[in-house]
Amino acid sequence: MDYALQQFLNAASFGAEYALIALGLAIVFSLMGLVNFAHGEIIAIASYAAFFLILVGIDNPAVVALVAIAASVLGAILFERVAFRPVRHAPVATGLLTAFGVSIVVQNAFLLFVSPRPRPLPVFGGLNRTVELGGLKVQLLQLLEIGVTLAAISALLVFLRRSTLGLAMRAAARDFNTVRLMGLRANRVIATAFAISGLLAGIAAVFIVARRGSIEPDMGFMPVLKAFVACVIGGFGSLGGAVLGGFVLGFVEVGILLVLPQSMGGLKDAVVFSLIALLLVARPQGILGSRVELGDKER
Amino acid sequence: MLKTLLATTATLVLSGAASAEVLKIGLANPMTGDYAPYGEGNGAACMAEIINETAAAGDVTVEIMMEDSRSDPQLTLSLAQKYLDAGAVIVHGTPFPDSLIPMAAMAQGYGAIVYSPQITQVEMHEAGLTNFTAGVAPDDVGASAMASTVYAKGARNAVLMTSEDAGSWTAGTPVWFGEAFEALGGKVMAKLNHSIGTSDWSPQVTEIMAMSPVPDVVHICSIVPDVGILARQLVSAGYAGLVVGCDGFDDPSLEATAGSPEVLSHIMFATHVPVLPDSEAAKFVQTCKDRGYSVNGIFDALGGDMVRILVEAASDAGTTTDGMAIQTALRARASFDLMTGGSLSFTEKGTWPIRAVPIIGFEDGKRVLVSYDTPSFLPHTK
Repeated sequence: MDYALQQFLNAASFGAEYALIALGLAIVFSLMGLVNFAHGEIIAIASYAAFFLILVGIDNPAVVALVAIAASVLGAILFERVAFRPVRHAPVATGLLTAFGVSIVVQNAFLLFVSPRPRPLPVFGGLNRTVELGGLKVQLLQLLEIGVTLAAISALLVFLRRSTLGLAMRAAARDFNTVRLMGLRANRVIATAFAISGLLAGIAAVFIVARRGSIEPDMGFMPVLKAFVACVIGGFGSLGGAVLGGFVLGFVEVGILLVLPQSMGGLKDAVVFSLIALLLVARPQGILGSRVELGDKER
Repeated sequence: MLKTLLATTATLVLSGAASAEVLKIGLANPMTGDYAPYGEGNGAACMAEIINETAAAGDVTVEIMMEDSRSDPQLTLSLAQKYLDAGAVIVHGTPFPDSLIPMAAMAQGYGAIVYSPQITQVEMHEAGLTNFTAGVAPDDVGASAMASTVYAKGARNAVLMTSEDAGSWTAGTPVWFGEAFEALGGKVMAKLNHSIGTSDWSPQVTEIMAMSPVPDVVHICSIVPDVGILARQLVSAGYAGLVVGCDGFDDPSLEATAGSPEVLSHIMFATHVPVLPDSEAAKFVQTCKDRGYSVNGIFDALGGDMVRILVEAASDAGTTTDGMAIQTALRARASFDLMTGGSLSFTEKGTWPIRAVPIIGFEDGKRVLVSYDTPSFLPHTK
């Protein structure tokens, strides 16, 4: 029983990390129709900000975490202002290529000006300690990951439902032109969406660095790839879908790892993606996505 | 006019004579990507600079051509083609068979050879390549040395963690460790899967900690930071045994990734050269750092050894332009003294050298040499 509970917690922790990152991708996509593959570099910016802080002698984990999250918010806003705003009205493919361009530029900047090799960053190592919870030995990091993810999602829900800007973002996701006609500034709405995605990426970065204990220029690539898959599973553009997709992916990955016979270990990713493909055959729009026909105005 | 013509001719003749003594080595070096910690390029360039500075008239000098392969096999091959076209007689790249087997086939058409200072995959010695030599022993040799060491320390139950991601290096090495361990009287309890790039091992950790008895040793052959994170998560879950592995552990960032001397005390790995404080390899690394090279540790030291060995082989062969003649000389000499200490010889095995395997452990967070022997039991290589 303990074993099953522990593995359940492991899967939930995987899912929470994917959900945090997927939510950031989904918020931007819901407004701009942009799959921001540079989201991984926002994670890297947060991590390298923490690294630089340690270099200058500031090693209080709470301070480092706050600065890292602030750096990722600023980084996301900067990406929007410098790279994505000029191509906002361009075809979707242009935005996608811009995202890849930003990703490559930022990765190479870290590579050239810091190091292509992993750099140690043990500042959040204290989160890896084990705590007892009802007789179960649990990593503090896992509990924090699940708890903070749920808190962040709840806070985001409140923001989207109760604040004017949040309501504007929801409305803009359905019909941006109408929102602008009502006097809301598009730049402000979109910049806020990027800031929120940066905030979520920054929180995820703290957890990723805590677990890895090191940073490297392409450290954001795999998490964002997983988050992209989570968004596809949940339904691209659906915020709830992104969260659900993240957790589904986490549980599928851990489940496959445990169930697949050792001799078939090399097929792990193939099995995971086959399951996802089957799901998409049944629901091409993802679990919570709405079906869009050619000519439909709303997503 | 006549003076100009004579001067030009003399320059051409002299430069021709000089270029005949230059050994051209092309390195598609993984400076970025997953295998960046395992490139030898900067150590090789540093050694080439040292050799060129001290070369007397008529001595062999070295030209290193080097670019970033980004750990990508396709780019590695493109760069190798470029170096071969530019006259390289020795090429090397991302140290994995998917890069080096096609590279050897490509080099054969140029009469060039592939010399890898660090590749350990057994496939390289079984692919029927006639122009390939490795500077280190295959993985099963290191795995066997590791099995003897942990068995001698009292380990009796082992879990093997395998992955198909990097060929026999990740899939075969733990299995060969298990064969050697069982030949000594130990027991392999289970095999678990993993993937390169894993940053959360909690499902595997839970699985291991639920075993009865909890294993004394977990063997894995993978890269940093993965292996450091695995050790940290296992120890954090209360694991009291050893986490052991191969040369993939041998990167200076292992210490920080593991996080504490307590976690490090559970780690041991088999490698090729003991880069310990005051060792010859450590002195070489420091010399290169002082010269402004961004060098790392063992793999740069192996790169330094590679250049020295190849220069000596080219001198023996009396040519810097005939790769196969250099390889013949390489395999004919009874012994090469290594800059990193000790010596090696290719006379017995041809494509790989007989050399002792250092097993590195940790005491108070510092690297220590646990054992340094040549194993007699080879699970795979004949």
